[in-house]
Amino acid sequence: MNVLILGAGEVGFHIAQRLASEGNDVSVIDNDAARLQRVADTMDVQTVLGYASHPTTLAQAGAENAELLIAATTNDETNMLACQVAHSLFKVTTKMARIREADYVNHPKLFGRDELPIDLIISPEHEAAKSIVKRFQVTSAVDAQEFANGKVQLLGMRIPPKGHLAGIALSELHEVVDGLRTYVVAHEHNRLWRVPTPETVLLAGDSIYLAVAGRDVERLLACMGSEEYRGKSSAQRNVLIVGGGHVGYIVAQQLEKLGTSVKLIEYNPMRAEWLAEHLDRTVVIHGDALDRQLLEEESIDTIDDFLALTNDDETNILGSLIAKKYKVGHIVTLVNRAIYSDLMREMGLEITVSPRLTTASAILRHVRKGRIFDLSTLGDGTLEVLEAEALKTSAILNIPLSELQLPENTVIGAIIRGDKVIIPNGDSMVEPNDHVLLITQGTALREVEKLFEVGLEFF
Amino acid sequence: MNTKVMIPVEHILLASTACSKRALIAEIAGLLPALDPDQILELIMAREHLGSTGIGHGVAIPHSRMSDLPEPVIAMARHPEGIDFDAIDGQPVYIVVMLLVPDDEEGQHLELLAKLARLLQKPEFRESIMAIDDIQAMSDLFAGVQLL
Repeated sequence: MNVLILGAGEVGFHIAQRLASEGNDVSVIDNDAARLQRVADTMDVQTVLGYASHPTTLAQAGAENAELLIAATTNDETNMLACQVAHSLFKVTTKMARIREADYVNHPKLFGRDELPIDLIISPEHEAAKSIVKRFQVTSAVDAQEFANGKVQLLGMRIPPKGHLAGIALSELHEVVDGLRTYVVAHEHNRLWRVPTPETVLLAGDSIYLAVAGRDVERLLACMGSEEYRGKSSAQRNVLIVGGGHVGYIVAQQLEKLGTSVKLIEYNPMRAEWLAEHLDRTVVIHGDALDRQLLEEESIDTIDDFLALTNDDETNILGSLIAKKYKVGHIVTLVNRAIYSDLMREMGLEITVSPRLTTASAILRHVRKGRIFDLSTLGDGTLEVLEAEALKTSAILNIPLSELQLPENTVIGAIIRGDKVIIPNGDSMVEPNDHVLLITQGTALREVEKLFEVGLEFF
Repeated sequence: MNTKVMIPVEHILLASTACSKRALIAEIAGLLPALDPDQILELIMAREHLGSTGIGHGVAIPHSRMSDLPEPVIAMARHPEGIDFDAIDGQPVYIVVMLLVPDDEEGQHLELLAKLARLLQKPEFRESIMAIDDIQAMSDLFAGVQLL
């Protein structure tokens, strides 16, 4: 597929690398020669120096042949205009634009085939905020991801030393969880994430992801038996947010809706004032999050959740380390730069959110063949979760899962049929129009795609 | 039931010079000005996104439903150099026959598509297509076969 990527920043770079490695023909446009050079040095793509929305630049980058345009420059207006040019002059099939300004995004009437022709609006800040709030709702787990409108959840958790799970093989899991239908879809041991087999044994300190029907989450957590898993409900929690930028503001807004009591520390006095005006119940504090006296005044030792969401990675990491020292139970660290994400676990910070990764997933979901509803990463990013519709004539249909030839390191964690959630066993079969939740190693995605591709006779 | 494949000469492009699948489909859609080429391009590309219609042996049969169409419409293009169409055998595609059908009558369209596919799977028919150098002869070639 021919893909045009506008902007070689963190998001553009990551997506270009990803798409190029899968054999797509990628062109990257940027007006900064140094940034472009970094792209040219790292991957096999065409680079074009110029202004992303100019017709000549787009033509030079091969817009006439492009099926997909991803406008990810730092400028909203450039991105929107580039989509319009690509549509009107070059008829590029699918157009995605990164738009930060909520004032645009809040007017859906602006977008459409005859308006601004943008098929998907991506807001890295929104994606990051969404993923923070999503996991907040199941704070007792380390990570939680919802699929199929919440009908299925993937719960990520660590195996505690004295819990019921330590030392059991997956084939024995059903006894521990009291017959509850659940499926371990990912397993980490010694920092290596894998798709487990029934023989896999869970050891204390390992991490796992479990697929479970949304309505069974509470029961499952209760079965796990360990105190660690018994969180307070959202409304009882005390949250401290550091940084009131786009992400911090959206998260505070959402948490207010859940009835949580939120304190927010913002460094910039003007912004702090703005936040105080625009948030209802959140206590906005103007100050420096790395000031220990301030943190102690705000009784950091009684905080349940510490969310470090400034736009400065270093501040977020240091703030999180301080919170860790005060034994805050649940710490979320926002990290933009790839180099830091790799270091986080070494520093003992378990939960990081990367706008770059969440945004890339949101985009890649629309690049995949077939009808994909969700695509996101698990663990350290080597495993991917895919929610796809099994259309008529596709290869995955009507074969018992035990006989289905899945690519290596791939499992089906759940089948969603209308309102019903099926946690499958070997006899289960996928029927037309089912949604399938599948976990795979990133490298097998192309093969997985093939399972969902429709036959010639599909109209 | 015997069906004839009627491709009017103005729906035929003998030598496409497109550099990509998308550009090729845009060219064929451009042969059908009465039908909103932009919409055709969108519909066909959306269908291709669910799975390529490149059936192997250098042949692709992109197709879609289209509302407000009174009867099936066929258009075709030949690409002498061959083009990457994401085909199932991974080989370049030389012959592209596009089929647009009305929004109704499921069974009939499937039958027409299946017959086209069977016809284009015959090596001697593909050879005839590649040998022709005149659009009238191409139209006659298709009109002359009885689809079984």
